[in-house]
Amino acid sequence: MNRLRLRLKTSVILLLVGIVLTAMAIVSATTLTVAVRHIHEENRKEVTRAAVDMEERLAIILSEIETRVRIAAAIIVDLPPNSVPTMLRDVSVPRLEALYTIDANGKVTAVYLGDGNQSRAQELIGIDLSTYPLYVRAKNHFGVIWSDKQISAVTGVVTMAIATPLKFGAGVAIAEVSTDSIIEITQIARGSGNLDYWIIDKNGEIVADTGPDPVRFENLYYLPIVEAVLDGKPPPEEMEFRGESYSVAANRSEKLGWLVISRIPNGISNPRIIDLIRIIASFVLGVVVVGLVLATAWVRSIVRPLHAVADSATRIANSDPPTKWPSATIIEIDQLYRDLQAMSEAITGREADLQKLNSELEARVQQRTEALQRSNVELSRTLVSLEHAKDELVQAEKHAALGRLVAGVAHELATPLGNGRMAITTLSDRLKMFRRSMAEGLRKSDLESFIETTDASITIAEANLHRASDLISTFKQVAADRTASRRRDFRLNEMIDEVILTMTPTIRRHPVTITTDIEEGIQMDSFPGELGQVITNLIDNTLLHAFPDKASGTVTITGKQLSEEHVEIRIADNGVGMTAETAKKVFDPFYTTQFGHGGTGLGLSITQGAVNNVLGGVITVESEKGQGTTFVIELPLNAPYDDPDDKPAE
Amino acid sequence: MFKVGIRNCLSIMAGGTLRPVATLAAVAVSVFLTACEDPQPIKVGFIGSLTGRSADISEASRNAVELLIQKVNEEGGIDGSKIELLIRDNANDKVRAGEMVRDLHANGVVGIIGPNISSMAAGMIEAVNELKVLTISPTVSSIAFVGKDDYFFRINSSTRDNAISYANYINDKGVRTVAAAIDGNNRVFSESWLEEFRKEFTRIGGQVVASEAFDATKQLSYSDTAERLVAARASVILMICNSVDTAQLSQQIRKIDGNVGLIASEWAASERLLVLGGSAIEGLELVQSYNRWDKSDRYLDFKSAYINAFGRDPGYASVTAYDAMTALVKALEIRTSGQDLRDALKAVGPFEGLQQTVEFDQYGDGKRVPYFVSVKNGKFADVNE
Repeated sequence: MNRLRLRLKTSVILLLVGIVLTAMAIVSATTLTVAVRHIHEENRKEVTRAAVDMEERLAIILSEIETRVRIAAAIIVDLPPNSVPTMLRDVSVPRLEALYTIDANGKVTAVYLGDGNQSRAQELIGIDLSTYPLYVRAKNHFGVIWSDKQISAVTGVVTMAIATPLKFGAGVAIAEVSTDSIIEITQIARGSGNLDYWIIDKNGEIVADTGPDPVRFENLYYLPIVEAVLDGKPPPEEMEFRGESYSVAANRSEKLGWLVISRIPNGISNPRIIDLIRIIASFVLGVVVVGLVLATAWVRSIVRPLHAVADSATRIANSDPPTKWPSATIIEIDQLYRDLQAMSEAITGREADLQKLNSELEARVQQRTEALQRSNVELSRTLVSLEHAKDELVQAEKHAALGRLVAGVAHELATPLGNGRMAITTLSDRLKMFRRSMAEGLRKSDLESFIETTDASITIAEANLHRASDLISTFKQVAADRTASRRRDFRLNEMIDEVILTMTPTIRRHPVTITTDIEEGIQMDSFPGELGQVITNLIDNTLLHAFPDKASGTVTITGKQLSEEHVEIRIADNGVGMTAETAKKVFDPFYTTQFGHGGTGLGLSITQGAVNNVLGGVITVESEKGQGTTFVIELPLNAPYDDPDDKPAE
Repeated sequence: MFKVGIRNCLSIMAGGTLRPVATLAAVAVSVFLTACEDPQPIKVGFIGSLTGRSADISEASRNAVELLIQKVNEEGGIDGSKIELLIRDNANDKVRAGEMVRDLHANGVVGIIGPNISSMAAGMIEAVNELKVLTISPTVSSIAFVGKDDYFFRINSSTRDNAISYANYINDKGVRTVAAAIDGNNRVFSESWLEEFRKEFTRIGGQVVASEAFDATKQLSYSDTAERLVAARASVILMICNSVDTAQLSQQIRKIDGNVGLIASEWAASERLLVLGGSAIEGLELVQSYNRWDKSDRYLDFKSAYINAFGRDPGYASVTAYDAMTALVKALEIRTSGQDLRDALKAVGPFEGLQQTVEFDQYGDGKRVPYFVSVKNGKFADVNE
């Protein structure tokens, strides 16, 4: 929701207008309440008096009419018909519409019609009005009787009739006057002001209403005041009619039996209250106008220093604080000036401090940057050294492996060469003995013994030298493979047998049995040196880690062709296994659990490098603590070529 | 330098908000306004001939309508809204009657009760249908308004129904010749009435030997008409005019001929006939579309309330007007927001009126039970007694 935003000037003016209006509203409401009560009281008196006055006035006027009707009746009875109209004009009954006499039998005997319709007057003579209620009442009554509003017996229109008995008990004269006459009488008697009247007949029919919007055709029997008066009860003083409230009073006409009801509107329909409201409204308007003028001037004097404050604040915001600070008449604004000045000075001081700090900070950043650059160079250099060291380590590892190979081979050669030497030594001894025998005299048995010995020695020597020669050629093959990365065709089972052979001395030092189960006839075109190194490293690794404390165990090497292009080699032990944590890291360079015991942590890293990069395969490890470890190598039968051009044409 | 606290100047402007001022102003303004106002009244119009020679019928109708409205209002109105009756006099002028419809409509009436006379209805019907203001006539019966699907509803039977009843009634009494007087000021009623009567009467062997139109509002004379009717030498003179004219005409007829039978249409059947007719109307027979001797509680309650309020007996126009207003009230009670009042009235269906079931056919036409009465000793009496 958006909050209403107002200018100070507007809000102060609104405030003042609000105060004025509120004050005036309260004062006006109070005044009105008091005045209304007062007016109300006066109204009450006025309507009561008016009802009596109007009834009296009506009574006088009606008596006058009655007198004239009596005279007119005498005229119509006594005078010849042709002089009646002239005489009646002189009597001048107001709004006389018809005058007729009815004899004791109910027959019409004489008729005068206000419209001068002679033929109608004539035909009326002799008709029977014995059932006419006014006649029935008047016949047995001494004095004048007024009818209620009713339909005329002779003209057929709605009139009021006045019945007066004729002389000598000879019947009744009836004069019919228009209800307009009553309306006129009451209108004249009404006077000015807001007082109005209803004249209501005994049946509740409105005869006259002097109001601005007169009710003429309604029966008001249901109004409490009509009911009360007709029932002879005290009438109410207030009345609601058509949504308006009135002060009312009623008086009943003795002559007619009719009601005179006077009424004055209450509330804002009352002109006096309207006048009062008008006066109050003009007063309020005047006060608001004066208030507005004063407020504008007053606001200007408040707003000017506030604008100066705002201006100063803006200048402070723009880092251009005013040099000269004004003072104000209003304490709060003056205080604001001084606070603003203090704030401005504080800001200036802090700005200088900040600037100083800022420049120092730049220098420090410069120094740090240089130091960092130096460290960076050193680190780069160290990294290069480390790379170098790693390469050297890898080389050293390879050499060590080769050394171990050589040691193994040398050890293996010792036996056949020792046997050969022993055979040759034996032969040599026998030869010396033979020569001595020849000098002493050679016997046939001596010769046979010598030949036999010689033969055996030669056989032994020959066999052992062959064995040595085989070993050397194997070694030559392995060494050649290892030292120079050579690609050639080979059979997997033969290659692995050779590798295990070269490892015999190492293996023999451990109580571990190595079994191989390689499918025969797996022909590969790959790098046997690297593969051999991989197998050697894995067996070394197994011997080193899987069986601590000279525990006995088994290492099984299996190989099988997976598809036409791939082969799988598994090297599984039943040793201690390793944790998942360790298994995850075994191929990381420099990771070793035997640090300080001669492990470089590079063996398996190199192994993985050879499998991935040279042989084009993948190596994974499956292990669980206490459940042994299996290295799985998956290789293509044909190793990939580094340079596609090296690939032989097929 | 003199200094002054801002609080001293603007003590009310606490916190820089104008809300307290607004609150005070609102309180002050509300002092002027009265606490709560009644719901808007429902305005209903009444159009009748309240000044002319048919004023007795219209007054009888108006009184009954006022009586019912008073009752409804005393019982809390319709959904809390009081009914306000706006009464208009058509001054027996059909043009004015039409103007009154527009006037009432402009004053916001939801429906109109009236008129009492067919000629006035003829003047109103165009405005009624144009403005779609539901109008229920208590007494209008001219065949001109029968069988029309419009906004003009009628409580009364049609002239056809009544005229046929009359024809058969006098035929059964052995009457063969009739001379008729018809009101020239309300031909839409009187001519259609006579036409329907003539048709039926001729069909069953009777004959209308003369018919005389007269207009008392133009030429206030009855003796010529009376003479011509008597001269026709019919066994019965039939008067199709209002009560005042029937009384006056009877007076003139009786001056010439004391024997000829007199019959008047149901239009004349008001108390005013008795008041003005004197001995001239002794023996006159006519239909009243209500049972004046009804002894049901419902009717007796109504009758005593009516006499109590207006100092006289209700007439047939009172009974039918009461039923008409009851229909309107029922329609107002069941009307849903925005519904056409006519549709609501059609949805009201048959209901028990003062003396009989009130039911409108698809064209908004009703039917009353006719009661033949005759004047005996200045009073209405059951013809069968």
